[in-house]
Amino acid sequence: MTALASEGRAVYAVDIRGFGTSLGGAAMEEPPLQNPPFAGVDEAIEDIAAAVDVILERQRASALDLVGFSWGAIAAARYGGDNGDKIGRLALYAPLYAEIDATWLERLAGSLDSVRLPATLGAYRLVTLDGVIRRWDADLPTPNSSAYREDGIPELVFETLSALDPRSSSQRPPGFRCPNGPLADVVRIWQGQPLYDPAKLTMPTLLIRGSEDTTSTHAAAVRLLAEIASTQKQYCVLAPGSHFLCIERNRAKLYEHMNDFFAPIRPNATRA
Amino acid sequence: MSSDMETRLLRTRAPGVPIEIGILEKQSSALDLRLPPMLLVHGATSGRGCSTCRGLAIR
Repeated sequence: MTALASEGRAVYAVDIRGFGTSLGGAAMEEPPLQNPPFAGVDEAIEDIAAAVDVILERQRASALDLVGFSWGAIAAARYGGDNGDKIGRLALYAPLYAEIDATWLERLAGSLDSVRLPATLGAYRLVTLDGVIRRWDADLPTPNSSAYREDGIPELVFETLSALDPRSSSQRPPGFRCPNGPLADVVRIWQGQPLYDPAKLTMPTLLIRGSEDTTSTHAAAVRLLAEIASTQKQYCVLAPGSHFLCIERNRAKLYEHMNDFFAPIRPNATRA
Repeated sequence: MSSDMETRLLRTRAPGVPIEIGILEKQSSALDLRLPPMLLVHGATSGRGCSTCRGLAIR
């Protein structure tokens, strides 16, 4: 956020319900298997809409620039497609788009079932430090993780996120609650469902991903780029970088590209 | 551009939804009003924490 705000713009980051500072709701308080996956893209759209309205009023602006990361790119593209008047430009970092992916379905859902969601996917899951490291390492092309990230970064990420869940430290091992709605959405993506319509994206749009990202693939990004309606669209691949490029050694390059994309002044985006 | 950063946590909720959501605001004291505001939406695990970790400065 600091890198993007340092150019002189106001930058906001929303926690969708159930995440971080938006932790709450009965589904997050009860045992996870008592409720279906919580806070999927349909709920995220409602929260993004509320956040956009607050920001536009606070900044006296008619539109804002929107950035979505991974599952957040699904939500951002869905919201942007339905609310083009409020979104000046759109950046989808590590975008996910309808792509049948047996490897990820097996890894995430434990099933290649092309229709149903796994019954073990409850409202939320507990994310441990070991889970953060294993998820990250699974996306790296080498066991030498230090080539991609500095020492202590997984611990820093885990501490930051777990500090927002008052139950985290009482879990054994410590772990913060994380809604499973996004995982259910990603399973649908890898079952071949798009979850958003790129033909509705008429604003300038940037697709950007790390060259070694196995979650957001080159094939899906190329297909998505072709289906985006806007004539002002770019696709950028940064090397080296995994799905978690935003917190890897090469992250400065990601923020440089984002700032370049969002740098031009848009006359109709000035304040009222 | 180099200047002090102001950070605050805003609260709102979607119509008809009981859960209050948090929106972190970060802006330079030297705000360029020609630039529209920007909103970041996080991934499936991270919350907005990954983008706000102290110690993850660009260097």
